[in-house]
Amino acid sequence: MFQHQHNHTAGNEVRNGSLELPASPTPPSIRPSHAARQVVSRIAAALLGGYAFVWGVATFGITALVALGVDYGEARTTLMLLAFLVYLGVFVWAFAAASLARVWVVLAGGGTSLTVGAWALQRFLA
Amino acid sequence: MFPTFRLSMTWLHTWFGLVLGYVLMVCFFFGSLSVFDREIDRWAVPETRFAPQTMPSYDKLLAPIFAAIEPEEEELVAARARVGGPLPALKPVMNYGAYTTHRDPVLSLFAEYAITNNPNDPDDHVHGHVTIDPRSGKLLPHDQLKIGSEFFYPMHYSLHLTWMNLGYWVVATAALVMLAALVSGVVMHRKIFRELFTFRPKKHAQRSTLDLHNLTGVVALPFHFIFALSGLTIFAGIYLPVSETMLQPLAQKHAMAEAQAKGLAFKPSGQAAPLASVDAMVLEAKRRWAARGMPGEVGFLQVNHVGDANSYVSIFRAGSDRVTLVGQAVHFDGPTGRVIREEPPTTLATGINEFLTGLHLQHFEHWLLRWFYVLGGLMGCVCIATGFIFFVEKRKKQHARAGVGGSRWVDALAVTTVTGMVLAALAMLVANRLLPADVAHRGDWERAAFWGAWLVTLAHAFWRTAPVLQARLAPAWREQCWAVAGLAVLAVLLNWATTGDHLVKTIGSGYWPVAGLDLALLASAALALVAARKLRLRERGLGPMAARDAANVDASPEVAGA
Repeated sequence: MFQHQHNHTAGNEVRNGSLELPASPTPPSIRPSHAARQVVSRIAAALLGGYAFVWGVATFGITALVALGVDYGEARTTLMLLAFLVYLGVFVWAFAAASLARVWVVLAGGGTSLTVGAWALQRFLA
Repeated sequence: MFPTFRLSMTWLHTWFGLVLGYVLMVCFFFGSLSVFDREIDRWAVPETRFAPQTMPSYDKLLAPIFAAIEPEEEELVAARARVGGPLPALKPVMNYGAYTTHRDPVLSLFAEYAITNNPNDPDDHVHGHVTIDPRSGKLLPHDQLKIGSEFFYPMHYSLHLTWMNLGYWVVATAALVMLAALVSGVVMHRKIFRELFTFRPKKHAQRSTLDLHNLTGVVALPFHFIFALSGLTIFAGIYLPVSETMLQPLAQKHAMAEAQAKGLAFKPSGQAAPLASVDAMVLEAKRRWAARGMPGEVGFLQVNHVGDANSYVSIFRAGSDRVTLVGQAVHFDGPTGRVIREEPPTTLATGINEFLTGLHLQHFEHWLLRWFYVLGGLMGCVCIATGFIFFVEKRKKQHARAGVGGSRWVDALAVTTVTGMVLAALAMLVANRLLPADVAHRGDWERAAFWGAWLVTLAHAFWRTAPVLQARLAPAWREQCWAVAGLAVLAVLLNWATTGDHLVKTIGSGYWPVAGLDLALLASAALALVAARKLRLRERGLGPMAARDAANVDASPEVAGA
């Protein structure tokens, strides 16, 4: 853990107990409350946005497979096996991505589009 | 928000690991105990200390017992609330079921009764449960709690927080975070292979803690990943209830088509009909399993639409001899006893799912492998606990200088979830042996002992971590280690005093369910004593490690660069 610090001579921020960040990633013009909001928004994006995205992937994946002739039970099992790997991927990405706005657009927007797609597809199937 | 990928992963690992680590600790510890849940049941319910039994005769033994089962009173109360008035006097039986494994001396039976006057739910029903001694058919006392399979086991996936399935969702979040912690942990460490062989216990606390955190995390990485993932897929129906909500039309269409294709009646016909010999059906099912090259015993037996012309009997094979959890169900027509359908071999996705489920639930009969599960689970506990300790060790001096209490509160919660949790489980076992055999609501008292003891350890941990404020070691760890040792030995002695089953007797007769738990308790006591002694040396500034601790982290760039 905390290997990234290995070339620091001033180990100051290593132990500063705050966000594990070097002291100046945020420009001084940005108020702390803004930084806090950013953190909360990113956590919400990862957990809730991630869930919406996974829901979209699961429902769209199932209906698409059924449309391709796969048995519903088999389609559902396939997507349930993949769903949490997808969740893990987008969860990690939500913290790694540079742009928080893009994270929200992809996760919430993508999740909604996929869910609507699944709903539309189901109307043809059932 | 983060300048580099590695920093983002470090942030994720530290803060999500800290917050959900407390939950993960519960999942890993009680999950490890669940590997031997049936054995803990034997310890806690002494009158069931006899050899595991196969499914007894339905026709001779089970049929009259099923007929005498009554719906649970609390379920009836809940059903009255759903219906909004009194229930019909007659609650027709829907289904009967009996479930056993190769480790169960006792047999659990359940029955489902239709609630016919719920306007909102035509399929509303309530359950009745009994546990019997399958040798005689004698009922076991109803309020006797099977501590292993009914308390420790559900604890690891539901936390016993039943309100709106809250516990399941908290555990799911923790499992997702576990997966993310493994990924981010690997990203943070480039020297992953070296971690496998690095443990320097003689170094100062922060260094050796981190070594142990990395070692246990990396050595058991596949185990941790597979268990967190399969835990999520096992309850996928709860976490992503697509078939019950949005995709219900599609799911329903499929269910009806499937029932029709299988020839299994979806609903009762309304015509009464007697049931043919179930024992004959069991013989036929066993013959068919043997013919497929997988002879076996019955694990689960279900009579559907009891007493109806549409009734059918489903017989599932016990999965004692393989990892994959497969049932090889054979379904029989109830009134005639002829075979309706034999489940075909599974398809690819279903097969993978059954393998993952079986891997997690380990119904197989392989004792060495079972012990590896316990070891893997306990390594998870060590990994999480050392994560907490590292968090505290890394910050406590800084926090002490700044006069903030952060690391003290983290340490207090860590004590509560590490030694405190062990103490709660031990208190439950001790209460189980101290309570009179015939006390009413025995199980509730045992539960109260568990939660009460845990609360006491919480209070103690918050009180006795005060020295962390001066960057010193919290005495809470040492004191709770002493308590663990004391309670563990007490539990073994109480088992001896109240049942006469001391270790010489249980080992001599090879009765491992009880001998195993007694030995595990003694081993825990020994470990706790060693830990308490080492902690005392450190607190007093004695011993080889304490000197290095004192010599200190600040001067050590290597630690900062860990």
